[in-house]
Amino acid sequence: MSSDYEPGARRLPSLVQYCQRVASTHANSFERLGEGLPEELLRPILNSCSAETLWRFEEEDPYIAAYTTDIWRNMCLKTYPRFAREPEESGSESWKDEFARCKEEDEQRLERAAAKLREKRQLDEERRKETSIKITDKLPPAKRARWGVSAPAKTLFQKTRSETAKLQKGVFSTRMTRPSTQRRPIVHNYAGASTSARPPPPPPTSMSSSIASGSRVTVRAVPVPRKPPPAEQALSAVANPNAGRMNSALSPPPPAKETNPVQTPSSPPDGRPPPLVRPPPKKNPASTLFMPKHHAYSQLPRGLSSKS
Amino acid sequence: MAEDSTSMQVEEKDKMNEWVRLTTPDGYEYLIKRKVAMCSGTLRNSLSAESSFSEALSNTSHTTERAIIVEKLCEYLTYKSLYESAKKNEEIPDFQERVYPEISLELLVAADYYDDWPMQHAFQRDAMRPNLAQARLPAKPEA
Repeated sequence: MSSDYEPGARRLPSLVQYCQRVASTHANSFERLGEGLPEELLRPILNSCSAETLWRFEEEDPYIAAYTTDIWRNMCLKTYPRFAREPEESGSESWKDEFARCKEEDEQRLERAAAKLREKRQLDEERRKETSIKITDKLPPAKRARWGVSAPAKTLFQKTRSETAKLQKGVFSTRMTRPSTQRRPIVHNYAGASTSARPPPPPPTSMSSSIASGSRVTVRAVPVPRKPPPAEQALSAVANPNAGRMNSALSPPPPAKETNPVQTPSSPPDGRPPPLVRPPPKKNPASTLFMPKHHAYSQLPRGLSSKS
Repeated sequence: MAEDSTSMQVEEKDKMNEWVRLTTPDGYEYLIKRKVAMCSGTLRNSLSAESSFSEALSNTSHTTERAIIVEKLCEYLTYKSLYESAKKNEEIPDFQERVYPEISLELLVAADYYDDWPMQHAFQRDAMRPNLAQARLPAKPEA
């Protein structure tokens, strides 16, 4: 309804204007515009709808496309100010196509950035996982598995020293329960033979080394007459090839494999066997862990009762 | 002459108080005062034209809009005739809330059609009235 020009009269908005206002506010809720709407009436509505809505309108009522060029142009420049270019430059057919092209470009960039971020995060996660706490029921590999590499102790004194040193730090030098608990050597002190200097109780490490050496050395039990009457010292398997068990005669040892004919304090037949007792059966997830030295209240299995 | 003019005015006023009927294709009819209907340029035309030909039976305008649309149209015309002459500082209610979004597009088209009448200055509109009055009234006996 046209407004009045009468002096003193109120200028009311026309019904057309009211309708345009309301429709513009709810422009994105319309499914389609319908036919036969004149351009001038539609313009405010088209200007205030989103790109998606405008696309929908053009699909439903293609006649609208005739007057939406400017609208698409404004949409492009407003939404993608960095990408938008004149259609002639960028090869699009119209501003509408240009808008679609810009939108694609934008999405691609976003996807690329997201992928980069994802990758970085994954790497970070992996790194963290490596150093995080893992639950396992296997012992970590013995850090000091190479204990046997120390120089062979020829004299008894040296042997004692090395053995006690091992004992003190001894937890990780063996991967099994202490052999001493299983096979403590039964040293029978037969008459007369006790005068000889006895070797101290065999160290726990001797088992490992003996096994190692056992694998390399041919074992033959040979009774060797010695100066002191051969005492049937049923030495256990813990014969240390390097130990100077000078005064011990060997009776055929129960596990034939594992004892050596220790005749003289001779150096081992060949170089020191490889220190590793046996390779770990399978990769232990705990192997990557850092295992500290024994602590006061560590619950790691230890042979000795002393905790320090 | 003076009598004629006053009687003319009186008659015109009576005329303006008459009811006018708007019919719709879906069977509804709306009655509004003539003066309200005159706020719409198109209605003014159609009612005058019709009246000039078949006054007695007329005062009816057959619209092609749906009933809801005609109803809102009448509502707006009433609103307009009521507050058109309000002074500047008077508060008047807003009409925007009364326009439902569901009908806004249709109403937009209808409003455009019924408001086709180009904006006129008051004197032009008034000038039309004597013509209308003459057209309606039977020929007066020469005074």
